[in-house]
Amino acid sequence: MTTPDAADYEAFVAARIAALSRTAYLLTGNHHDAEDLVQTTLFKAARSWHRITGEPEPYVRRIMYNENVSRWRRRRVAEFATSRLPEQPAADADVDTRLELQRALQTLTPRQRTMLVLRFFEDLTEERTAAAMGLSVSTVKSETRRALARLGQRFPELERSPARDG
Amino acid sequence: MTELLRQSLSDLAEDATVATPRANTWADARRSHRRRLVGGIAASTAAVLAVVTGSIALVAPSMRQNSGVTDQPAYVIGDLALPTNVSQPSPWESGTADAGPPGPLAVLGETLDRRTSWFHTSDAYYGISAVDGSYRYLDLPHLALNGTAVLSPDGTHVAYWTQSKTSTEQTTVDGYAVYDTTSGKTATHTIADRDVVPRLLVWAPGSNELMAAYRVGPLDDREAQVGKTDVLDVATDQSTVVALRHDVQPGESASWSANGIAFWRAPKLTVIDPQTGGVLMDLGLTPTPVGGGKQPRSGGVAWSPDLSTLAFAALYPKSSGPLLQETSLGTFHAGGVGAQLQGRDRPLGPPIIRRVTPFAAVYHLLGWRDDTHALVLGVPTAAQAVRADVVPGIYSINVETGDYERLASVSLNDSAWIRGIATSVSDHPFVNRPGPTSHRDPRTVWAVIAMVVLLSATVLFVVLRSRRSKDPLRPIGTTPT
Repeated sequence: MTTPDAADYEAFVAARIAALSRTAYLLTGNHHDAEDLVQTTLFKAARSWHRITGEPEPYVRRIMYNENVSRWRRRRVAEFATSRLPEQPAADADVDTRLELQRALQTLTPRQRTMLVLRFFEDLTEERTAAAMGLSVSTVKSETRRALARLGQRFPELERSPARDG
Repeated sequence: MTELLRQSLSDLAEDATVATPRANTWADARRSHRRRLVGGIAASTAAVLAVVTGSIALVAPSMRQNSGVTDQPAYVIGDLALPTNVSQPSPWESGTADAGPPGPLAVLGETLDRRTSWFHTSDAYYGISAVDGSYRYLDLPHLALNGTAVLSPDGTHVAYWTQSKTSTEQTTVDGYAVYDTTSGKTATHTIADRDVVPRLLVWAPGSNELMAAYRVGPLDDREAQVGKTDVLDVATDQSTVVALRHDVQPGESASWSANGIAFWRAPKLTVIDPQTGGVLMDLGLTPTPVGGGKQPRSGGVAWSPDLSTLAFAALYPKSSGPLLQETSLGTFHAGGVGAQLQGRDRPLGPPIIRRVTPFAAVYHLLGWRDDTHALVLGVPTAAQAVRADVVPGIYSINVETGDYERLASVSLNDSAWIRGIATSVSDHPFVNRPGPTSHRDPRTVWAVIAMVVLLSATVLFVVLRSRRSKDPLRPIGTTPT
């Protein structure tokens, strides 16, 4: 028998899993980790579903952001941001913009990546980004600036486009 | 730049593979939630139980509840002994109300330091077991006066004055009680007279009878008061009241036997006929040279076991300290066995008064060990008496030769002292017993627990506050507090 909570949860998953998958892909940079992140996020959301009041998506997304940073923290000994680009995709002679951006994003820390995704993909303001990540607004500002600068070095097309404040 | 970034991110996101929802995520998650819930409750319960159990283990030794009354003595008389060291119990030592009767006592002591609460101390009697040397406070019901309880020579009974409240809520002495240290039972005896002025409680050498000496009459008219004795047969619980022709005065010591009641108030020794209350002998002793002409006070009087000799201690005040007193320990040979003292018409014969020194400081005459050895609490020589670090002791003094032997050391602080010892047991060898149990101060334990709880609460608060700022269930857009 399906309880009302379970039905709500399943309806939410059916409606939003695609959007969550996209965000997870941007956050992790690869399909495997994105899939893992989505499943973990949905599991934790289901476990705390009874505590959610109102619209669940903000809560679920916050679980995802925190989980992404936490996963990075757990693996930071083995994985760390580097100035070296990741391994070149094999037999891909015409590297397009997407791949260039993807590789540039990989040079950022998960926190910086999450910030850029929140700010420029989810379109959150600096204040809401800070709240979503549990950081101060000034930290979000400085980290975003640093992330954009780093991204600009690896992804020169960004530097050549007209600037606009978010 | 950011516009291109937005566009690029959106394009990149289109490459994402949509995750496939797992069929059992909900069930697994709810199962996990239940497990965490049960685990949390179990952990909390275990933590609370651990704290409670630990607290009880640390605090409870003094709270162990035994029955207050027992019928079966669990000792062999031949095994009874006095300890070679006398001290005072921990302020937190258990009492007879909690731990039951202590069994035959070797020593009856008194202290000002018993903890009645976390913030208060009070006077209390304590006993040292003649069986195992353990210490225990005596919770004597209706106790009227401190400093008056007496231990029977065999250590099995403690007698004390009792009190009652009058209609005007004033506390008055109305009788005496006998606490049985082996059964825990207390027998109370009400004195029929009103306006009782308690004077002395004295045990017979055989521990079978108790004499209560008191005065009755108008409290504001001493001339109109009459001295009386109430002699209780402990075995039959019957008592006999006799009016005395002797003014029982404060500070007087007494030793009682069926052959004669000896009252000693230095320098006067009086023997009273216990049957009639009449005076058998009234002897004024010349102050001894050791006192330098000062008026001594009584340090106790005691009949020898064969009732032929009275030992008495005269304490002469010294300026060097409140407890150090020049002493004259004397003996009075009454001229034979006690039968010669009976009857007012019989001559007592020539008294032989012998001063037994060299004891410089006798704090108290405790009784007799045998027919020739008196037991005293004191310091043997003047040279030792003036040394602050000298530990007093219980000494056996041969009243014929003056030789003495130290039987026990007495390590009491200024707020404790010995009220009496079981003299009938003193002929057994003194035994080295473990000292008083050292009890933890429960206030320290609870303070530590409180600090741990406070610290834990602080850590928990900080952790929760830190986690709350990252709580996924806090809606996006709210500012962390």
